[in-house]
Amino acid sequence: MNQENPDGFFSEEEMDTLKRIALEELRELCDSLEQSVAALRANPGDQDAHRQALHIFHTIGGSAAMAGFKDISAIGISMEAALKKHDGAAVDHDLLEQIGGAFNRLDADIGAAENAAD
Amino acid sequence: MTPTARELLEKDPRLRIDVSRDHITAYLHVNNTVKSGDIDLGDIRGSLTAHRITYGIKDTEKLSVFLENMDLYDHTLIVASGKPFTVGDDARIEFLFEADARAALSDELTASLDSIDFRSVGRIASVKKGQVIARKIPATQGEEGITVYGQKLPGEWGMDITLQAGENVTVSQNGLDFMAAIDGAPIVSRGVLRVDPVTIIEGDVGHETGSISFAGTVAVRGSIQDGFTVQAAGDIIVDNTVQAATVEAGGDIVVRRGILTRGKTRIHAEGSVFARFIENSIVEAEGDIVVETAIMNSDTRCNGRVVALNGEGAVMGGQTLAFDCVLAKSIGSTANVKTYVQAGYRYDVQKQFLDAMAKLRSVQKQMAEVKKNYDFVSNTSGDFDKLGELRGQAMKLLKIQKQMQDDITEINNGRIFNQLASIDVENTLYPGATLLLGDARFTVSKETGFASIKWDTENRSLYMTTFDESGRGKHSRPGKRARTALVIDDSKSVRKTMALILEKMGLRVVAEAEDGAEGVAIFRETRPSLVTCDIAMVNMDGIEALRKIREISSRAKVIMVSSNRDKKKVLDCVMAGAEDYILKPFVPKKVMTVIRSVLEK
Repeated sequence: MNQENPDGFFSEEEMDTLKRIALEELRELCDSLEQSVAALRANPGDQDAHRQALHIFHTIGGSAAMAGFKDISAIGISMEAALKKHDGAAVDHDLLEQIGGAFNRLDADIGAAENAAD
Repeated sequence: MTPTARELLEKDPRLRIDVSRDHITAYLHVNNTVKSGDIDLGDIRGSLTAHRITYGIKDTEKLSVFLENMDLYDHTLIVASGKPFTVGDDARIEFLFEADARAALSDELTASLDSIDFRSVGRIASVKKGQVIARKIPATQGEEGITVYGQKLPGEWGMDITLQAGENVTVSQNGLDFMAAIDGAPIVSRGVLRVDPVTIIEGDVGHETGSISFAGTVAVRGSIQDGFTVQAAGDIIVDNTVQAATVEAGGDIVVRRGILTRGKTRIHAEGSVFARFIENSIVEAEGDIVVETAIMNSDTRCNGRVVALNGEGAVMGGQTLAFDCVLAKSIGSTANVKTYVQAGYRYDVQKQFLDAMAKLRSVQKQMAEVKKNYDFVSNTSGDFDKLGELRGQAMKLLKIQKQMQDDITEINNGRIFNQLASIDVENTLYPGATLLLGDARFTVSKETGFASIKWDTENRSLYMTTFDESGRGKHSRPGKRARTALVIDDSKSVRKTMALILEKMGLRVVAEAEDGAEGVAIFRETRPSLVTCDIAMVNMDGIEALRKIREISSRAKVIMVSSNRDKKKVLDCVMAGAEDYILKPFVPKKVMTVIRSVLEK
């Protein structure tokens, strides 16, 4: 588990709790992202779905970094940047594929972190 | 030896034998239904044999009396008594010269701080090269014991004691005799015995003698006058007073009268400082600071104990800091003079920390001024150039502020809190005194008699024990009224992490809000001392929430928390009234530095 505990600030018990909360949250965000991806696939110009996906990636970037999941955080941050570039415009095919790929990687990485924590 | 299962089966069911946990006492219980005459000595002996009890068995006469009067004994008898082992004598040190009170003080177990004979402190004994000056009497082993099973128990050894040989002291091969390697003054300080060469100044240190620097002990029969310096590798012993002079000792400093430097110079001892009184002076010691009468309007700090338990025993005015404890008869005064007493931090590290905090506060003040000007210009002329200039100034100050916070975090990492630290007041604690254990503080509002302030590790708070006139003890938690905090963030894990950090700092988290709108509503209801607020949130972002919170209370202390590294965004927050900002992912100790600096603004 790569949860960060610089200078042993948190006790082991506290670390376990924070780690569990972070993974639960990342899983919930991943589930919400799945819905946004489906909405964007159905209508690439759906600005609500676009904003929602952007916000989810932003939150994943921050929360995963806090919990020390650097790879997951990196996906969130890069996808947030990619979606920001298309802010206000319809999502093109390439970006849609990129989002789909990011979702799959997130799903797999979060699953791996969950297994490691069990 | 444990009886075998077969042996247990053969035991008499009418009798029960219990053996104490230490195997020193065996009890015989006879079933209540058994009458006198139903069992005999043979039955008891058989049962004892079955239990392998061989030592200390009661003699025939006593067993017979029991058998005849079982009702009177409630059917129970101590049937065998082993012999407990004893504890030997503790080791001790015999000083073969006239050691002063400091020798006793170095033994924390036996030192009685309120009965120090100050007349003997600093007395200079004289020894010759090769002379045995101290002898260790080793601990002895106690007598051996024996259990009711006949097993031997070794006697326990008495406590050992350590005396270290310092400079110019040699130790015999058996480690028991300590010999002087030079002619000089034997000195025991903080568990170390050394012999110092001695120089004696028969009068004052002043124009006639000039300043003194000596690789041993310096004894001044008079005073150390204004403007002069005395430096010694060993002790400095002054029969009269220390005036506005610099005094630095590698060992202890003993001043038979008082230290009165009028705050102009510094007294520093690598050992301890003993004085009749300390007034308007700055005194530092790696060991203890012990006064006979009072510490008045002084800055006294040490990494041991500050003790004022003799005579008046007062600590009044100024600041006193000790790593271990502060023990005084009274703290503060009837005039309610401001007196700060702190325990729990090493003074050198604490000074570094306070200096850094003071610098940070000065930058925060400059930042507040820039923000004030910015608000004024935006609300009046709206001069674009001027606003740009002010934003530039703010950006520079923010950068300096962050660097300072990093430095403070670094210092704080080495600022270890002694959780066993305490402040004890024997007679009176006066209003106007502020007591701190670590960073937890409380200001005394009403006069209190005996008070003992300690740290409650579990609740992370101070607790005070006082006694009323009838001698009844009372516990309270002064300064327990915790400051409150509100955490606004749409990430649950960030909220929980932040809340945990705040709680560890002693703040009470009133609520966690998932977005700006909810945060503003909760702020309106609870008015917490501090708000931490994420920037990017749906349903009202952080900047909007910050503005609304500031509309509700212009004194609200809001710290923005974000993974957004866009400097313009950060500056927008600060100019909109945020006290500070924290970048995600954050390091808990850095967060603590930022929060502390905001709360203590």
